[in-house]
Amino acid sequence: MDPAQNIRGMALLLAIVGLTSLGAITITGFLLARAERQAGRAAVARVQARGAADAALTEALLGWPEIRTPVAVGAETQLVVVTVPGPAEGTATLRSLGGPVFALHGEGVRRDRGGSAIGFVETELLVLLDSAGPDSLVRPRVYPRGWRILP
Amino acid sequence: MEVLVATVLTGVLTVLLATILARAAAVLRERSGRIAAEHSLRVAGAAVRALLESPQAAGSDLATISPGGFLARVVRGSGVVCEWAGSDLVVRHSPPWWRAVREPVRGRDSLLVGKLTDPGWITVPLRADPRSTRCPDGMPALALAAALDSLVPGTIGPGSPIRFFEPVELRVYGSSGSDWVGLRLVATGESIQPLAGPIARAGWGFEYLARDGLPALAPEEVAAVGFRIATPVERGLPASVSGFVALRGGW
Repeated sequence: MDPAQNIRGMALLLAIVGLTSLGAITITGFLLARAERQAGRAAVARVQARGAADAALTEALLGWPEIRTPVAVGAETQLVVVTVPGPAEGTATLRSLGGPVFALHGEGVRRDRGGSAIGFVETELLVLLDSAGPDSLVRPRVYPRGWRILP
Repeated sequence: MEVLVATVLTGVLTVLLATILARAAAVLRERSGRIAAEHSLRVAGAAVRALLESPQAAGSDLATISPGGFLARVVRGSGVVCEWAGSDLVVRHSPPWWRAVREPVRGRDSLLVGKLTDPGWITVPLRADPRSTRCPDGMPALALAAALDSLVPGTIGPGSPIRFFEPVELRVYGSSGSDWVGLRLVATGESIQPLAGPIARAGWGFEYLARDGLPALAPEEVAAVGFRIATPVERGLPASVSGFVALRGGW
């Protein structure tokens, strides 16, 4: 066999080994970066969803016409739908608990371009409906220690 | 001569390749370490927020506070009373009424029962394991044994909100030559369990603020908690996270 062919064969082997190693390092780095990006995106999406839920609850606290207050135990009325930057959508729903205390249920969701939820948060704020504003709207009063993030 | 040139070139290329590989591996290792450190920070920061957000500002939900950690009572679930039968509270036990991370446990959890008149919460121990039952309207329910016999009728009843909670301690502790962020479920008597870490020496601290922004001197004065957590990385500056959590259980 021609010695020159041997040398070229060795160079090819070295090149393959080198390129394979570089490729493995590049792919590993790419996968790590992608995992980090996804983790970061999920954290940001959750913050945006949380902001949307809080915004909906805050708007609901401004009041609503008395006719929209649910009466039957467990009955619900959706009071507010808001969209905040992200974009994330927040809703506030009023639920009758069967007594003078009602639950304002805040829900925030951040979706990706395909419409899949990538961040979701539910909160609850207990309120009392024993006061009305001068414009005849029901003005909810926050129950002490009435807020919590739902699991 | 050709052999010499080929050998020299091969040597140069080999050294170059080895250098590139070594540097790439070092960068990758450093990046992996930083990602792990940032993950630890995310977990620790999320735990601090999760434990501190629901407690009421200037309330009694923080039992002890120190620069190295705190002990808080943490709500694990909530529901609504459908009937008060003697010392048993019958609580609706189906969605969306019942929202809990786990079922209540005697000896570990206590109850917060919301009053219908004079809004506020009554704290009572859970005296027996919960048992399944039904509400008067037939819905699935849990009977929770609570010492409420002496209450004035009408104080609580159908529609009363209810929550159960347990004391949880979050603090830094040393193990195997490193500092870790740990959680301890006080009522179970367990030892502290690692949550995130390792964190940098002196890389952890809490400050407690009252409503006026000045340092709170007692747990019941606390309205916001500031925290800082830093984790060591192989090279460069340590990764760290810091922030303030407002206690907003009362909104």
